[in-house]
Amino acid sequence: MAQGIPTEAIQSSGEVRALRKSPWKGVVRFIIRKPLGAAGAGMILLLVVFAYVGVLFMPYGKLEQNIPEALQAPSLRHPLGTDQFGRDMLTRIMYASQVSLFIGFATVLVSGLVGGILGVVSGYMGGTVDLLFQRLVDVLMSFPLLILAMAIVVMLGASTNNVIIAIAISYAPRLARVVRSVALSVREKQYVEAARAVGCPDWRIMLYHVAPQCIAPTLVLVTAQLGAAILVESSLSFLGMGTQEPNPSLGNMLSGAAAGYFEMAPWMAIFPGLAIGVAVFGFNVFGDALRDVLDPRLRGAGR
Amino acid sequence: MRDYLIRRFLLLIFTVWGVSVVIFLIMRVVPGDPIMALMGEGGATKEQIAKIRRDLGLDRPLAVQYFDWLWDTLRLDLGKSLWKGTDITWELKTRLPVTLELAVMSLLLVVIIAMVSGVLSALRQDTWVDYFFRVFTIGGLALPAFWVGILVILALALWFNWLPTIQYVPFFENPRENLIQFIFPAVVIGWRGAAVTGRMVRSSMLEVLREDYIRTARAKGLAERVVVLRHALKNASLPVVTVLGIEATLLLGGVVVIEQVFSLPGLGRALVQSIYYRDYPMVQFLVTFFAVVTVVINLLVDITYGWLDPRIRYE
Repeated sequence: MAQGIPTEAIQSSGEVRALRKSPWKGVVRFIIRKPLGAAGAGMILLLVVFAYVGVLFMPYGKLEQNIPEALQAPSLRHPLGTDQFGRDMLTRIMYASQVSLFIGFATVLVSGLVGGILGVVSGYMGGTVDLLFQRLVDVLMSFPLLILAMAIVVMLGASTNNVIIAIAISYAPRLARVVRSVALSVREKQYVEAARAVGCPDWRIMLYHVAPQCIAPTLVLVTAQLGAAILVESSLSFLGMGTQEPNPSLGNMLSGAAAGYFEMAPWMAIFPGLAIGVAVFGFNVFGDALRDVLDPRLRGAGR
Repeated sequence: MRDYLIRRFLLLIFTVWGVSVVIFLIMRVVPGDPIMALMGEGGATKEQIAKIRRDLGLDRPLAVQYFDWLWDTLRLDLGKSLWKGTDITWELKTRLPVTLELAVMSLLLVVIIAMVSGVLSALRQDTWVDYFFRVFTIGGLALPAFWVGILVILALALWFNWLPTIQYVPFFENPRENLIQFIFPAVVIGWRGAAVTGRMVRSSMLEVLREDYIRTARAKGLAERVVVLRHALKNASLPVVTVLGIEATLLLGGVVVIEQVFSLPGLGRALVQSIYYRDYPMVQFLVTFFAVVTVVINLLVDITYGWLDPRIRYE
């Protein structure tokens, strides 16, 4: 820190600095200021433990059938009941949550990367490149998100990886738009001008001077969209366009042959959906709180 | 305003053109040959495949195929469904009313619920009314619509022994049956939109209610109802329109999923089925259709701005 700057000025310059100074102080402050957001983060952590550690303690396999115990109501042996093949619902929901979490994080990573690059290049280069990119973004944003994702999955074929690609492509333009606006303002900064003056090539300026400035808002936006990504994934696999049976996903457990047993065994319908709800709720409140603390400018952006 | 409209309209044409190119490319260039899928794995000889490709015109250059499709679509000659062999125009004519009724009904519900919940929770900030709608919002955002739909059907079946009619009943044949058939899916689809829009109404109302002119209106003895509805709500509705526009386009995705859950024979169900059967002329048309509707909704939102707030000048 430069000398001579009053300490008040440093303190009032936002939570970002507070978070950077000491990570633990930042976390404590976050919990105090945004209890709901912290609760959301806690729920996500619990869900991760539930999905990845929980399976280690379960005596059943995710595909293990046991017909004599089919369609049993929740009991001590099967806390969430069994499905029509006698597979343990709790075990399957754990494995399915792994799929959901993985797809959520992977989607967000891929769309953050693609949208980030598009946005930085578009905002920094300006001119014709910007015009072309923005028209492309316009076109891609004209598709209802779920329907674009469906169209892409159709052509790539239904599988977990293709779902990630499809959702990422559908989200990337929305991200690119926000990152572009950040890049536009960074482009006018003096240090960028200085870099240009010393003959730094454009790609270098974009990579080392513009992109780092765009990382924080991208991260924030992407966290806020994790919940939505999980919802889209569950809708896709519900429609039979995601993870395929017999592998469980929270969406496909609610469709197909299983749907015929819901009246006899309502627990088969209730619990997978509840798991989606918990995951999405956790990510939503955590993402919102993170955004409020780190970058209030993004409120309402990029939905 | 007129210049702006003309410019927006030209942009709309460009966007729709772009949409058609993107869809065409997705359907043709990406691996996943529709013919192979149609015939199943290894079920057809080379000659059979070649013949089908010729019949469908898939052996011509891509550009020719594209302009051919574009020209036919512009003349409203939409071709035939690969799977059922029916005219796509006919499919559109029979299925559009279902989807339209569902979308309009849930949009109406969204507006009504959002206005009531938003205004009430702004006026009764931090009371149980406010908290109730907060929980309502959380549910709408976090719970997947198809699951809520499944639970609604399940609850109706288990507790009231009532099953939604499998056969679609047109409104003009039996309005009562028709409305009963549509109200549940419409509520399920609209929940999310009502939640998001209601929150927007609330925060926007809270902001406006603090303005000086509201105090003036109250001070001169206007009835609270007039102050809230005439003075506050109209000015609070500008940001709401944006959110409502976004939600209206998201609603289309909801329609696709919920038509599946409630077995309503609309365009969304047709899309899911034709994807399942790799009926690509149908998929191509339906995706284009949904995209064009989205573009038009976005334009309407922008025009509504100018009408609600004369201060907005279109450069």
